[in-house]
Amino acid sequence: MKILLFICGEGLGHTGRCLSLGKDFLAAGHEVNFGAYGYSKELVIKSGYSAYEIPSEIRLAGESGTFDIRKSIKETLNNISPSGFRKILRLIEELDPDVVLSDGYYSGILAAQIRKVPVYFIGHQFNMEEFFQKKGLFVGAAGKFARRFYNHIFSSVDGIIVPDYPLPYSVNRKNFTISRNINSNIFFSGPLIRCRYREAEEKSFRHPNVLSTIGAFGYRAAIFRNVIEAAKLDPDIHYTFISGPEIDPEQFPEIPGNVEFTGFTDNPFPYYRSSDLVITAGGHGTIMESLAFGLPVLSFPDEKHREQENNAAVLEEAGYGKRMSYLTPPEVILACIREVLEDESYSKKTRRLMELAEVLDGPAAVRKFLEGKYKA
Amino acid sequence: MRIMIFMCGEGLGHTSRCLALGKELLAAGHEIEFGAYGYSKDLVEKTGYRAQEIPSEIKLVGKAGGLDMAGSIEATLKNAQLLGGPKVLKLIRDFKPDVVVSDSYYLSILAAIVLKIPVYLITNQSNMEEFFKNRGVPIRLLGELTKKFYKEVFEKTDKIIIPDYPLPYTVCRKNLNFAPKLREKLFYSGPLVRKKYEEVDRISLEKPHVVSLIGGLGYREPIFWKMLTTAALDPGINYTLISGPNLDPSKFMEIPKNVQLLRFIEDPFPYIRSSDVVIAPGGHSTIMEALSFGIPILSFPDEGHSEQENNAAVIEEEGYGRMLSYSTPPEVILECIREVLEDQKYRNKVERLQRLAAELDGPKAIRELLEKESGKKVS
Repeated sequence: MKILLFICGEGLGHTGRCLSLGKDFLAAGHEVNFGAYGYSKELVIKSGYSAYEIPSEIRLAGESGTFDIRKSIKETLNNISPSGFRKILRLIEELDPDVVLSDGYYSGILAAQIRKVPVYFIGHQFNMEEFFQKKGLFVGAAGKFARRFYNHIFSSVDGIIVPDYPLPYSVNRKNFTISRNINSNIFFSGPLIRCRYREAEEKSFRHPNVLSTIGAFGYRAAIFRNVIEAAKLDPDIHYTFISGPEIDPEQFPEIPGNVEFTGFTDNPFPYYRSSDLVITAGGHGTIMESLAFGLPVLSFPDEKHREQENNAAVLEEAGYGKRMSYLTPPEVILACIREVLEDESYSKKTRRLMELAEVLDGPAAVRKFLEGKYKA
Repeated sequence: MRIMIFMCGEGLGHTSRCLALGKELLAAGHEIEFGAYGYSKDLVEKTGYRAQEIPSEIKLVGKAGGLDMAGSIEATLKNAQLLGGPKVLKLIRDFKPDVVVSDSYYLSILAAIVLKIPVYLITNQSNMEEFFKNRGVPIRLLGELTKKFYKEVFEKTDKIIIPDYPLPYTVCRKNLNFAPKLREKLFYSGPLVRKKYEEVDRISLEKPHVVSLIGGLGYREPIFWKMLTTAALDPGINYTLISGPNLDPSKFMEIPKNVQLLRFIEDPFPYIRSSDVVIAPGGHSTIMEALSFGIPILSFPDEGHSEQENNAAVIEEEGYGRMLSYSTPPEVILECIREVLEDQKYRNKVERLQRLAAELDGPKAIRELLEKESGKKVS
């Protein structure tokens, strides 16, 4: 089977799960091509694969802890060009895939449909119009348009792959609002993680160790300061910070002895494997990675970012961790860390999710799902 | 006192709770007549009571895990008998009851109102119009009409009996949206279950044991296949799957050794009592039965059936069990079963509900209410 994987390059969540799929398909003898852009493309190449350059679609913009939807729409519209779309059409024609998988990359879906190639949407969020609610007339109108557009996409693709645990364990359940009337071929694969627990190397950390993976957005730096302050309050809890590419550890002059910075790394999995708790934003990819490695999560969703807020709310309700806020002061962050470390019900639940991720084996499940439909 | 009990025959839930009430009233020396149709009437008769045939009101139609709203409305309209009203009127005139009790059978309420006989509605749902949301214009219009109709009915009944735990334990609470002025009329009786926990004998089932009560309507069949696959994944957990009268177990070729497949059982209560987990759709009565026996539930609500989805959501939120979906694969069903078996929290919560059901004694509470309101103990 020839597979073409299109990746949305905003954040690295889409890339991580596409790499997990690519790895599994290649190992099973299928031919895989990636279409990516920006840092996402670099990560594909660093992982040892080649990638075709595709134009970027959605641009996320924001500052100091909030996500600016108006600015993001403007930058997105500036980015879409007819020549870019023609490039995607040409790529599909040249590669002639049996199936196109598009992770959050909508131009890839439209182009595949024009070229009459079966296409599957990979995504964890289906209520994008909520994104646009209560944000003024301009953004509201964009929301209505977006709703129609997304409904068209979801109903016209050959299937939808949701890289999350099936119900009732789905972390994205508050963002999953489509019914089988829109598309009858919806498949919850289980997490799509680049590295399995048993494949990850173990680090010799002192325990308890808290891993902070607050990623690539500069505007999240404020959380760093609060977590570092929390670290100063109790030297018996150790911290490892994986900082995004836009964060320079030098910015933080007073680092306590119980805090270690790894700098930016493409391979966070040894850190997951060797930690007891993850502090992250509310991104679906990192939450899936943490849970698949059996770790409870303290989630700081980006403010006004409904999808992340919903993910964080599910973490809290299901007892997989806690929903935090930019306003949570260091003393309370420490209290939450202690609670989650001390109350075994959290780790008991997340260990269950780790085992479930192993059993479901998301990448293999997606491969088998497609192999069943398109014989090699 | 002479009491006439009418029941909606869609699913056996209404019947089951009417039988619970009838048994209690008969034991106290009251005179009872049942009005029922279809399987529901058969069940009343099999239980040893006489039932008058009444016309059916609602027909449910569905396929592959979803309830087909447009199809159900069409079937209901085609099925509506023009002479239904007069027939029910005549039955009531003939029996001359002091009180009419109607479990979601609305023709009898209208007839009782016409005949000026006190009428008590049993229902676990006041938001029927939700059923019609997002389902196209003609269906929505029907939804508006339905809303008006129910509003009138609720106002004209003497009391509305909710066969569920009082708040905050009410499982159907997301389906109740009565106008504030009706609050005085509401009576939360506690579960109406045909058998009391202490009346039911334990049977010897291999432990841990899961009983699945999903059966009846054909669109639930996919869950059967999944339950068989789930059972095959872990031979250490034992299952009794009750298929219901419409399913033929011979269709299932390979049945794992840890599964006992039963087509229909007259009495599910010994199985509920002797199991550790109940698997059920999202119907209110089965949920009440499991909870009043202190057994946690895995609920598979019918897709698009908002009443069942709401019940299941409360089960999940309150920690009485878990809400699953038709898309939940066997590996995950197994995980849910293990979780509910291993995590003592579920058992603690449902045992509390078992005690509460015994203390509330729903059938007795309703009998006392009817006796008090009509001023008669035994006729």
